[in-house]
Parts: sequence; C-alpha cells; structure tokens
Amino acid sequence: MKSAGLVRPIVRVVLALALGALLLTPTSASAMTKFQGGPTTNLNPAGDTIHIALSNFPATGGLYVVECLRTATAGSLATSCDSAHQLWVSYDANASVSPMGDVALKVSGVVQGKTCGVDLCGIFLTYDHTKPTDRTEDQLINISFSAGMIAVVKPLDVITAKINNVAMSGSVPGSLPYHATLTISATSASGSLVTIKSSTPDCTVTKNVITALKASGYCDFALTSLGNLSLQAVTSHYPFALSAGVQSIRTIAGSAKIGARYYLPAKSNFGNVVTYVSTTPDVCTVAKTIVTGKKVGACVITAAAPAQASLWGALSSKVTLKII
Amino acid sequence: MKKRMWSSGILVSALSLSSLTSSFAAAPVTSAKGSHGEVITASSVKIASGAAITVRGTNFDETVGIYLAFCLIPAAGSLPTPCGGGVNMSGTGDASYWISSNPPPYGVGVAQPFLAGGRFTKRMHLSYLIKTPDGKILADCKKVACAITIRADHLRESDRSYDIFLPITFISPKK
Repeated sequence: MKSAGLVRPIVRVVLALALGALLLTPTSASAMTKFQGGPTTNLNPAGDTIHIALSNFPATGGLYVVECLRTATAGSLATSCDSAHQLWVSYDANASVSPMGDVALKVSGVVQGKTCGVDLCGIFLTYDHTKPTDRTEDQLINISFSAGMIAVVKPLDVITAKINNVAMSGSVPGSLPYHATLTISATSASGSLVTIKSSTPDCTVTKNVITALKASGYCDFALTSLGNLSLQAVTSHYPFALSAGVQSIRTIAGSAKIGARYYLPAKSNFGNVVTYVSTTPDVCTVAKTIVTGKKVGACVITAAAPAQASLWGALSSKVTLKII
Repeated sequence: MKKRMWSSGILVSALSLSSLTSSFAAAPVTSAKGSHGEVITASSVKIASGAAITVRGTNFDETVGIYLAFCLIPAAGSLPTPCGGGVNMSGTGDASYWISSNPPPYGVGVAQPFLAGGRFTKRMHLSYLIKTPDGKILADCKKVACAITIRADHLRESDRSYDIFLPITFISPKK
C-alpha cells in the first residue's frame, strides 16, 4: 500500500471542513459509495483491521476513510480522528489504495487519547481534497469494540509540542524556511521523554533543532513518547511546508566616530559576499566592508547579495549607523 | 599521465578553447562538474607529494551524503577504490571526509554537514602513494591516474551518479 504521508495535511484540512458540516451521525443515500466489509463489531480495541469493499464509488474524486470519535464536532478533527491510519482511496496513483483494492483500515479502541468504549467510534468517509466542499459522500459507519477487551486498553499518551514557543499543529503545516533553525520543545502527559525524528531526508533534527535542507516541498517530523504504565506510547506527526531561505546579515548596531573605521559583515548568513553602498555619502563612505564616518549624523548603507536560485532570495536591506 | 574522460564526472575545462589557443600552454583543469550540477574546485591540481590543497564544493544536494577522498580512478562505472585514508567514518585526518547533513544516528557528530547552498571547503594533504593503514602500497599515483574523488556515501554506495573525479598530477619538488 502506498504511503499517504504527504497528503496528510491536505487530508486533515479537508476533513476539518467536512466535519464542520457534519455532526458524525450515520447517514445514507442511494447515490453514495456503498460500504461493505468488516468486521465492524466485536473489534479488538488493542488494534484490529477492517477490510472494506467500496462499490458505487464516485467517478471523479476520491474518498478519505478514517476512524473518528462519533462525538467529533466542527473544528475538533485534530483531537477526534485517527490521522495516523487514515486512508486516501482514489484512482490517483499517489493514493493509499485504489477503490478496486483491499481497503484495509486499521482501527483501535483509542482515538487521539480518548477511548472508543464499546460504541463511541465510527468510520468516516468523505470526499478527498479534489472536492473539499462537496458533502455528498459524507457518511459515518458505526463500529463497536469487544466489551471484554476494553478494560486492558490504555489510553494513548498525549504530546504537547511548541516550536520557538508557538504551539505546533498536526493538521496545518508549519513554515520552515531553508536553513532556518527552529527549536522544538515537547512534553508528554506521561512524563516520558519525547524524541523527534524527521520522516523525510529533506530535513534534519539535531537535538531539538530542525533544519530544512531544501526550499520546497514538505517535511514531516515524528514526535514519539514511549508512554508509561498507564498511557500507551504515541507518535504524533507535524508537517512543515518548506520555503526559500531568508538571506540576512548580522544585526548592525551602535555608532562610529568621525574618521574611525567600522567593519561590516563581509558575508551573509548563506556565505554570499555582501556589497555595501552608502546612500548618505556626506555622512559616511563605504569601501568594501569598511565604513568611515565623515560627519555627525545617520549613516545609511544599503546591503546587497545575490539570490541562489530555488534556495534563498536576494539580500536587500539597509544598515543605519550613527556617526558621532 | 594518461588522459581519459570519466563517465560520471564532466570535466569543466579551462581548455574548452584549446583549439583556438594551441600556441599557448594548456591551463590545468581545476574544476569538475557532477551529473546533478554540483561542482568541485581544487586550489591546485599539479602538486608535490605531501602538499596540501583546498577543495571546494558547491551546489551539492544536501540530502545526499558524500565522501571526499583521493582515489585511484576506477574503470568507468566502478566504485572508486582504493582511496587514501579509506572511507572516513571516524571523522579524523584530512585524507578523506564524510560530508552529510542528515547522517544516520551513528554518524551524528562525525559526518560534517554541508554549508548552505550545498557547499563545503576542505583541506587535503595528498601523497602520490595510496597505502593501507599498515603501509602496504595500493597505488602509485605517479604511474596511474588518481583524482580528488566524490562519491555518494555508504548509504548509497552503489549509486555511481554522484561520482566526480578531478585528476591530480604529482610533480617533482624543485631542487
């Protein structure tokens, strides 16, 4: 089965829209995709697989198939559905599985740290990202778990993660510019150490610092807690959209005396040679990276460095020095 | 030294106008370009044995780890070997380097990451004799063609598309 890793952000956004229009109640319509297969009852809450055959599948567009709490409401997707095992069913070559194939959905008795009990969860079907506002395929298939096995299931641990002190989202991709260094701080409800791994080679993790090695595409970071005696191990995924790097020079501050030399950074953060020009030649002059004050006032200098195609933009900034 | 063209590395030659400048001495080729657009440049390619040169790389794919080493130029399509310093997974010495921005866990702190733009700058001391650690001579680079060599690291050991060869000539020290 093909991975749907990179479509997860899309899946989540689309499902969020779908759930906004649908309180998860069983529905049916003759034109809908017909759900067949099983088992859908007496499932093992520790983990089970439902083999689904879909008929009357839409001719255009695909479907997302995912286990959700039946109490899911608008805006609660991130805490109401099992995004780790959701499937994208489509004729698209990148889909998790073809509608003609064995749609094998893994389910468990705990979704996003909340128990399904015997009959608190279901399988949600909705149009995929190609028809994000079309609600005509929304339906919930009830499932139930074995009452005798429920007691042994521990709820999942819950990871709380921040990046540069801002809460991370598992449903909306964050932004990660090329070679920017962002620090993840993560804790778990169990108190277990949270480890961080990049799921893709385009990004790296060194200790808790993540870095993008490319300027386009997506990276996914997997945060894992091993849980404890009362909470199950869990891995949460956090997508990031990669973007061009921001070329800069170190902050210039302070002042320079008339006649004294002030040295500007020779290179940008990406190693490019920076070209400086004084726009206030009566106050200061610039020779390569050396500023010389001529009279008291604000010395304004433009800093420029070329872009690197597809990796970072050009540097074009102003530096102001006070000449005293 | 016998001249040859390398299948996996395209020599960026200062000699491209050689037909127009046949009356001038040919400038040595100091750069070589890989099949993915990456380029290595050496500060010198005609050196005395034991001399140090600076090798610069630009535009490398930062998601693919590489080895930088001094090797016998192999038959086309073959793994470059033997190499001076061998495969450097210990991160010591300057005969070879492991450059990778996303090494496996055991390589963290050993492999050196690329700089932004897929760049690196490394100093290498080169000897015309490529030897085993116990001193056995594997290649005499005054008699056979050797080169500053780039190859994908052991995670992509069989991928020859990352191979680049920049031939080095050893000259006798002035007396």
